[in-house]
Amino acid sequence: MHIFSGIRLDAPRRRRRKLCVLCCWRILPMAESGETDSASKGEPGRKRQPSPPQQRLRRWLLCLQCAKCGGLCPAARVNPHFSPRSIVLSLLDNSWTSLLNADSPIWACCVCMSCDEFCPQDVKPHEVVAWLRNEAFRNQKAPQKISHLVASVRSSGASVALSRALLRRRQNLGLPQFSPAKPPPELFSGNES
Amino acid sequence: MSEFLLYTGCLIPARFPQAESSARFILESLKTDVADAEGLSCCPDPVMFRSASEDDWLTIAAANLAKAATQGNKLLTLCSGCYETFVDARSRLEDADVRAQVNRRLAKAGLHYNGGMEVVHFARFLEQNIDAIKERIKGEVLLRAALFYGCHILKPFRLMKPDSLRFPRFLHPVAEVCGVELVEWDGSRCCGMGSFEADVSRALSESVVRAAKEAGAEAVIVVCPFCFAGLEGVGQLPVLFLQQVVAAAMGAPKDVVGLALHRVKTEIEVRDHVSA
Repeated sequence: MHIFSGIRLDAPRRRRRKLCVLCCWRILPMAESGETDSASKGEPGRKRQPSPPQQRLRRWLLCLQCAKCGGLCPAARVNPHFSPRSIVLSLLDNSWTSLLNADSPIWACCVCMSCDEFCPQDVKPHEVVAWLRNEAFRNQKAPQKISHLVASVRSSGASVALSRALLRRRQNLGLPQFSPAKPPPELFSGNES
Repeated sequence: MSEFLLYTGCLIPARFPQAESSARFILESLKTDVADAEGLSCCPDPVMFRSASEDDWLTIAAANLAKAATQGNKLLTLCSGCYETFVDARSRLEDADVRAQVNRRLAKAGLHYNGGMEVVHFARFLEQNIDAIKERIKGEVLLRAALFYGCHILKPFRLMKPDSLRFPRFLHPVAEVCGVELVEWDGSRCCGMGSFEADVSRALSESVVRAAKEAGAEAVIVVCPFCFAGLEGVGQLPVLFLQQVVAAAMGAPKDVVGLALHRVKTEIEVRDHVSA
C-alpha cells in the first residue's frame, strides 16, 4: 500500500512530486504486516509483540511533521522535552518502544486536544499519546498515580478519595449523601495490578 | 422518566460541593424536571483513566450511559471531564462495530447500551435557559472577572460545537446577565491539570492566572472543577464556578453559594435591583 501525500522539501528536486509517506519514512514492513486491530489485542496474560493498531496507524503515518501540533501545545510551551510532533515521529521511525516508561515525555501531555483539532492531516497526535500511555500501563511502566486511580474507581466507584471530613462539608451545605456505585468488576480488563 | 438527570461526577461532590449546591439551587429555582442519576459510577475521567486503558474507559462510560438511559432523557453534567467522556464515548459508540464490541463486554454485567442519551454540560444548560434566568435574577453581581472556558467544553470541535475554539463567547451572556463585567482575554487556554507532570500543571495554571490579572480581572470564573483546582492552587486570584455567580445573582443564601469553602477567600457582592 502506498499513501501519497505531502512533499518533502529536502528531497532532490526531481523527486519533489508525490512521495509515499510510508516509503519515505521506511516503515513499510511494519505497516503492511497484515495484523488487524483485533488480532493485535491478544490474550491479556500472553507475551505478545507489541504493535500499533493497524487501522489507526495508517492514519498516524500520514503525519507530515509540519509541527503545527507542537506550536499549539500548552505542555510543549512549558516543557521543552515534550513535543507531540516528535512523539508521532517515534511511530514513523519505529522507535516508540523507548517512550514506554514512567519518565517518558508522553506523561507531560495535558489532554487539551488542541493538536487533534488543528492537525491538517487528521493524525490526532493526542490519540497517539493516549495509545502509548495505554501501552505503557499495560506493560506496568506507567506512573503509580494511574494505578492508584484505577484502583480507586474499581473499589469505590469514585476517582477521588472520599474522606469523612469532605463528606461532612456536604451535610453542612444540605446536600444529599454522595454514594457513587462501583462499576461492575467484569468491565475491567484485569491489568491493573 | 425525568427530562434531566443530574450527574455530579466525583470531584465536585467530594471536593467542591459548593458547585453542586449552587447548581441544585438554580435547578430548583428554574423548576427544572430533574432527578439524580442513580447507580452510576465515576464517568471515568477522560485524562487519567483513559491513559490507563481506552477500552475500559469506553466500556465503563457505556455502562453509565446505559444505566442513565433507563432513568431520563438528558444527562446533565457539572464537570467538563464527565462531559468530555460521555460526549466522546457516545460518538464512538455510534459506530455499530464498536457498539457491538462494547456490548459484548457489557453483557457480562447484564447491561446493554442501545445508543442515544443526550449529554448536556451545566454551563450549556444555563446558556440554553438564559431567558428564564433573566426573569429570576434578583440583583446585580458587582464583579470584574475573566471567564475561563478550559479545554473539554470546547474540544473536540465537531462534538462540542462551540461558537469559536480560540475566542469562545457562548457563555459570556450567562455571566453578563448576572451583571458581571467580563474582561477581554484568551479564555480558551489550558489549565494544565491534565498533565502528569506537576511542573507542567503548575506553570500553565500560573500563566492563566497571570493573563487574567493582566486583563484586569478580580476573579476567574470557571466551568470545570479541574480548572478550579488548578487555578485556585496558584493562590493569587479568587476562582468561582459559573453556577455560583448565577446562584448568587438569583438570590441564593450565602451557605448555598458556599464561598466559605474557597481557599482564596472572596465575597460576591450583589446589588439588589430594588435598591439600585
